[in-house]
Amino acid sequence: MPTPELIRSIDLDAYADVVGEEEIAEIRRLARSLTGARVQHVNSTAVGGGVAEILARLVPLMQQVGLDARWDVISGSPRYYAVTKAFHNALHGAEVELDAESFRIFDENTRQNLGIVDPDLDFAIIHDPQPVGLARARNPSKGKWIWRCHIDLSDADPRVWSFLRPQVERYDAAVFHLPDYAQQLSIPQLLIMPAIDPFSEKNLELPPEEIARVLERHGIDQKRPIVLQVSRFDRLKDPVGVIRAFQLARGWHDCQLVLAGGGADDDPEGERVLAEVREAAGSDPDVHILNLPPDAHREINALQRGATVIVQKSVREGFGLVVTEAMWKGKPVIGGAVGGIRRQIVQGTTGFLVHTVEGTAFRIRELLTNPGMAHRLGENARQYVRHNFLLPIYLKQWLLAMLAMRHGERGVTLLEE
Amino acid sequence: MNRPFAFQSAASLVKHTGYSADNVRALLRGLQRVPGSSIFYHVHHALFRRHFTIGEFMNDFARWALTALGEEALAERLSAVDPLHCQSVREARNELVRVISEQLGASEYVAHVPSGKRFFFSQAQTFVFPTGRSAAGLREFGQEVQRVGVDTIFHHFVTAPLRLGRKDNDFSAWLRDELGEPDLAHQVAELSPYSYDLYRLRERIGDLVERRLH
Repeated sequence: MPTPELIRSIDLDAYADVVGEEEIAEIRRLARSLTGARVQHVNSTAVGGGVAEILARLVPLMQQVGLDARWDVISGSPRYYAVTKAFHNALHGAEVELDAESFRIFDENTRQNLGIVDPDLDFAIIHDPQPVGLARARNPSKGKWIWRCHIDLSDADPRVWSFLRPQVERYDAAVFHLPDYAQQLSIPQLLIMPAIDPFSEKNLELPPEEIARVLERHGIDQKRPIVLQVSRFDRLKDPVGVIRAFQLARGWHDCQLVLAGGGADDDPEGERVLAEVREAAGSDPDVHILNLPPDAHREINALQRGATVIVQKSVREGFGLVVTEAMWKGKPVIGGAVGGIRRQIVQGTTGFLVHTVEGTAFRIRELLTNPGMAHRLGENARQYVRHNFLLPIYLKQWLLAMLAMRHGERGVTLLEE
Repeated sequence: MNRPFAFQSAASLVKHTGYSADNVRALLRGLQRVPGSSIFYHVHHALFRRHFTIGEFMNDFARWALTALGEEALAERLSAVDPLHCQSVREARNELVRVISEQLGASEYVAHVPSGKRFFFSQAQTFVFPTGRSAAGLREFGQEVQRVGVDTIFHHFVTAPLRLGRKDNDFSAWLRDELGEPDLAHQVAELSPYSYDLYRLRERIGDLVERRLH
């Protein structure tokens, strides 16, 4: 189990202020049918990355509703992690060098970690491809095994996926974010969208003075509208396209652009993209390029809260939790019509979906010209996130997944008192 | 002695059916083959996601026809299939199939959408559970209905009647059969989650009860 300081224990009842008392009461009712169930999550890292972040919050909530939940992390050598990084990129559709030795290293590491899973558990929830092979040691008559895939497999490298697929099919079910990522598999595929924690540093309410301080520190004018994109300096997030859209929109409306991100310090590709972004921005004093450290959660939170319009002009996106975060802050969001962004933005209701630089510019202009519309979209967006993408809802979905494993394939199940 | 109304709630897990469509003919094929729980999920998706603006209360098939296929006329006809008018999922399925079949007619060519715009048939696996709340009389019912979650409203108003093949929603049936309140039962039956949303529907039920009491 990762060390206690990594576990973010927040009282489930505290979320009643956000999602409503009746929602929390229903979660507790639902959990009664699973009281005492032994649940073990396994992933490949205790810190860094979205999976560790969500587990640090989900596991304590599972404990609070009466589950005997724990979280363990597999170990591995640097060579193994180099292989899993290559696998990760290949599953995202990138061209990578892999040979027989890569697959052998992966298998060997799985073998060394087989003892990590409790043989008496009721539910093993194994996250992402790195520990997927652990199911080879399972006793098929004992406990239910669920593989949770957090990545977009819609363009997966066939070599890597055909290696992983038989291992996935040892599970009782696989869980994907979106139906678009589901695969041809012989096991049931469940769909659980990810969620954000409203009480995390990234999302908690901030005093106006703190927001003002952050904007001031970065030289951003608080009197003029702010268009913001938060993302790694990555071509898939099209930061140069955002600059071009801003330049078009500014012809109609005086505003500033903030591109806040990171990932350029230890990533040669990120450095190149950052250089392209700087070149596209030129000496424009109204384009603020902020290369922030990966733990600048509160600062990003302040920038989002200080923004007038938030853009996420991705050309490819897994789910896009950064969009969820912006929507939760009641901001009007313009998002690329890809991946999970399409599931979050209901066109013209919770934001705008766009396909081009010109479309982005048009929507920026429209929102800056119509503050009433911007406010309405932002309010709708916040409500939509409240009902669908917050941590207690995510907990509820996991309880349902475990209940589905217990009760089989029935369409409707009556749970008794 | 009246039988008390026991409020239940329902929660659904969404699953992939394995069916998807990239053109209207494939959509028709999927509609004919997917489990009933998939039809149910897609016609009521807005309520599952707790949409709150009337403009989005179009079923998923209509929305896909509009946004992915660009078939405005088909989208209008599909959106006219009122799931609350159908007493069974089979009826809703037949109606959707009829609309698409008529649209397709004898045409040989159908447009295909790019892979990012495919329609994926999902299905809901639902768990119904007691909330622990109940009401023995009208006053208590009026208070409790305001306290339950919107999933409880969805369950008693939409899911349970459909599952049991009944025309009446649970609230109206209880008000009429147990409390002898046919007028109030009728007023509640005339409400629709598609005219308001689940939150306002809850309020409206409470208001009607309140008015009856005073």
